[in-house]
Amino acid sequence: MPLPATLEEEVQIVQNRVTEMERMLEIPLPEIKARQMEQLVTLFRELRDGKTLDGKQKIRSSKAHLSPAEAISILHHARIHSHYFNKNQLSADQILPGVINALRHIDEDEPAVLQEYNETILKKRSDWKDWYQALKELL
Amino acid sequence: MALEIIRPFAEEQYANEIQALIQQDHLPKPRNWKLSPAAVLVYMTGGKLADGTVISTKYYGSRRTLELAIATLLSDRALLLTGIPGTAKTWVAEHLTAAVSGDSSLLIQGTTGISEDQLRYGWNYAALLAGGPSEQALVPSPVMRAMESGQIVRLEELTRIPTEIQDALITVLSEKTLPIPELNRRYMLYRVSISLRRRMIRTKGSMRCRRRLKEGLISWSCHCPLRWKKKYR
Repeated sequence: MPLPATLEEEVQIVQNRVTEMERMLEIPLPEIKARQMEQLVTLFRELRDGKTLDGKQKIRSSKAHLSPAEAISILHHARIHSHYFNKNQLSADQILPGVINALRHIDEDEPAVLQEYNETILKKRSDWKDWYQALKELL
Repeated sequence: MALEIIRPFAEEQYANEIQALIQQDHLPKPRNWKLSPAAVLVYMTGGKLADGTVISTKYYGSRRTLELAIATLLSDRALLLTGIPGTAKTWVAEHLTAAVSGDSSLLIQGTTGISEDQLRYGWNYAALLAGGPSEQALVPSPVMRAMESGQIVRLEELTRIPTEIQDALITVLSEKTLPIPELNRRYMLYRVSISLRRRMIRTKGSMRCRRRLKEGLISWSCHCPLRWKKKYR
């Protein structure tokens, strides 16, 4: 089956499932900001497609399964982590370990793709400073 | 002369620490958990409780790894600890299980000769021949017992298990269920965690871990000095 066609569609899918999973857990998890959700899905789509969303810049694509299901699982885990160990505040620091993990699943060296993406793409985006910093520290 | 157990389970050896933590832990506990996640972390990292009880340090590595691992036990996926031999994967898994479930006896040792029965369920053949498939004739594996009781089951040396046998875990990890077609019933996994560990380096004779199985896992690497990591990559 195809992957979601647009960013909005993919965000919607992830949003719905993550909310559903919280209900099942019966623990009040921190809210995910619309912006954070969009950032994660953007990162997934760009690494999958091997180019930026606007199509202007080429990047090394990843072989990892960066699917909506993976994004859902990463966010769910990040929320649990924030709830118990980060005063219920969800930040890039909680989300990104899961992303690195997803890449590492297919190859120990795969996070290098993310490192390259961080230095060439995210560094230049002024509104992604926290993600850039967090990734730099984690990788 | 009294006999002495060479190696008691973690929950026996550190029973007084766990008991003190339970008594002084007033934070909400997730269902089936003996301690709150914060108290589990204290049990692992060590510290001093309000009443003066000293909790020994169980793990000296990164606190963050522990936090991520504890959070994974509450997530929809199972915990996979990776790392080169001797980085305390087994130790961490055992103590996490003792602190969370209060019982670390549900254990499967992965070997190349393991059969699917040991991951799913087997039959008591005398009872099976006498009365056909029934609950009484069923011999549950530690995985199934954990699913019934909501405890953590540990699986050691995942990558020593032949890939075909590892596949028996896919339904458990992705569908959260263990079907028993002979009895037309299935066990549902409800927020039960499986903690597995595997060696990071593939040595001669070790098996791959299928990607499909990995999708049901969240793995965290046990701390080891950076130069080791590079050497073994």
